[in-house]
Amino acid sequence: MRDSLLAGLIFRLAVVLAVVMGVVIWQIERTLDRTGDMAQDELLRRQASEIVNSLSIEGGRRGGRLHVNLSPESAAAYVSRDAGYVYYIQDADGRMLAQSNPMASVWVQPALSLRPSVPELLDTEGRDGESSALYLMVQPIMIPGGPLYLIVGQYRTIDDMLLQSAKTALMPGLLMVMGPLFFVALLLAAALARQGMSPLHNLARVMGQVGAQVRQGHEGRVSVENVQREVRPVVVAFNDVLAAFEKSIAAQRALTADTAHQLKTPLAVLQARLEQMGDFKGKKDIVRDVDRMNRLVRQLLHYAVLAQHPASLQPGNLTETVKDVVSGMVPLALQAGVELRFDANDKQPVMVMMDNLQVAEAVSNLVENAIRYSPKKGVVDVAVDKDGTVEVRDRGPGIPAGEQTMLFTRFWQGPTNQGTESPHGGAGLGLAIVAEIMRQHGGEAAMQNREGGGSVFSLQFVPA
Amino acid sequence: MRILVIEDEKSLAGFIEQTLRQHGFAASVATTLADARSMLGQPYDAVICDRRLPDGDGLDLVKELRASGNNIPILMLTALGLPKERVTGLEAGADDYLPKPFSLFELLARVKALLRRSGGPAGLTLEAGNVQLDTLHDTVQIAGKAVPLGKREVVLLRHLLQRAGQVVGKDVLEQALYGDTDDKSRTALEVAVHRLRKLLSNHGASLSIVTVRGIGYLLDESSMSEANAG
Repeated sequence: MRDSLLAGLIFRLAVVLAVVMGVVIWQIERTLDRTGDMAQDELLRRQASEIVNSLSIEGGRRGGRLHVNLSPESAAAYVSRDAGYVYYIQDADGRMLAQSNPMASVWVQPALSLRPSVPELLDTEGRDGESSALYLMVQPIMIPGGPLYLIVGQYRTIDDMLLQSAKTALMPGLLMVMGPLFFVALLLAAALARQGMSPLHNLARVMGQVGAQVRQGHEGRVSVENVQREVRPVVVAFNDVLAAFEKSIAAQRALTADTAHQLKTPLAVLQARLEQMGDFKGKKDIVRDVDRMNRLVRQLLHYAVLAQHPASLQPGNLTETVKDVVSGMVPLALQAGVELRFDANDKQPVMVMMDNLQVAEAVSNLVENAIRYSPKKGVVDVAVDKDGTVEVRDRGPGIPAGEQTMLFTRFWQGPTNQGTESPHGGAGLGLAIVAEIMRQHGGEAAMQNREGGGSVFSLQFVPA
Repeated sequence: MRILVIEDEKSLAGFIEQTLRQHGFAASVATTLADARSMLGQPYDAVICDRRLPDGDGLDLVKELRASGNNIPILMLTALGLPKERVTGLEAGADDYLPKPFSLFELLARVKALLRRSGGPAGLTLEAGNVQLDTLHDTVQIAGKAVPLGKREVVLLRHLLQRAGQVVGKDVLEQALYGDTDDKSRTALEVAVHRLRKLLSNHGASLSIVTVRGIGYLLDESSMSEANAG
């Protein structure tokens, strides 16, 4: 529950719902009770006022003899216990002044101690069971010389019992309705809460997309415009982090590019100096080392700058670009004693979405690798297929299956079983550059071992 | 042939100057754009120009020269070896673009190619290895001896010589040999190349014609190239 906003919210809603329902049930029960009591009250008050109206006191004041002159119909209600009503009148000192029948003093016993100033209803337990319970009301009668107290009682009638049984029947029914109602309401609340969370889901999706975009080196911020007030601080914080991230990446790349750039002139001097020197033992190795360093520095610079200048894609003829690259690489191939071949139908353009310069860079990286890893008199085939694929095939050592997956990551450098000294001057960044360029093209770079030995590197472009 | 080297890194400029002199060029060095501007008052046959100079971008000088109608061949040197930089350099009017660090041999080959391509004064002699072609009279000398060549072979040789060391596309050669006429066929060019190749080797030329399958041909001066020859 602690790791889910929704669960926490639903739990709280459930608690609130349960409390509200409890209060409602309690209130209903109380109201039912009150209604019964009030009806009883009203009835007894009417009886009381009838008795009070029929009273006559000799002398008109306390101490005078009391007469109850009820009409015969009214008096019938007091005749016996079965008739339903009983009355009893006493003075402030507790002396009995009148009663409906001789047993009345016993029946109204619970009310005798009361001296209330206002009428009060008293529900007494029946002596012989529920059904014989007696409702009593005490009403003061104000006469000169001090109050008298009239106590009116009514045995539980069939109506009362109906009300009581209605109440006892109602409560389980109420609970039976309230239970399912509770769950339905809870489900509804959960659904609403879930729906209320949907802006969060949308936001998470947008943030994920923007995050990925920024990781890939593109600009990107989450708009605060249509974001709800409550989550806006999250978005603002997220954007701040993105900005900081971009800044530090840019700084890192700029440093790398600058360093690589600065290294170039001293390297050029070193290379020129070396070439001007006569032959000496080990010169070939040093020339090769310098060449390798040159390559690494060049690739480092290119890799660092690649993200600063994302590819601008437009339809272009892949065949033409690859052909130019292969043409340019022929001198290198000749130097290495490797034959370079181009295989494409150049009468039919292969149109793909591309950044001409970057595609040239990617292909020349692959071709350069193929030449470097080829044996003397080996053949490197470069082919362009009409589906937008470029293939570079060599007869080099190939790549062990286990190492093919890390091929396109930074600084992977040729099969490791050749020892630390790479004889081919591979600088390791070439394939990372290829992978980055292909990613920016929405394409794919892949490698597989060639039947009969060697490797096949392929670049798959998106047709225009 | 006089070449102006504009490079502020003194040791590198020194090496370039030395190499050019060793190969029969007269080279002068300017270390700033201001120096270069005043030195360009004299006639030069080619310019080698660095980009990052103490008093500005070498590219600006290139633009100035081109704007004033000067067509002198220019080779840009730069530490900015990125593809996009290369394109801006060429667009500004440079003829070639060599990224640092480079081999002095590569620099020399590029300068020679530039001079060849620029055509220079009428009657220029195209030269590679021990082969010379007088473009005014279309006569060919191999190892100092005149060699009679057919008209097609001369045209072919001229195109290959102009871009010695670089691949010349089949389409370019076919266009040069046969124009837009219909009689060009795949074999016609191959036959002409075969004949020229035979003539070159028969007369002891230090050049070989390399076939680049699927693209075209390349005239190779180096002796190491056996793989593609044949």
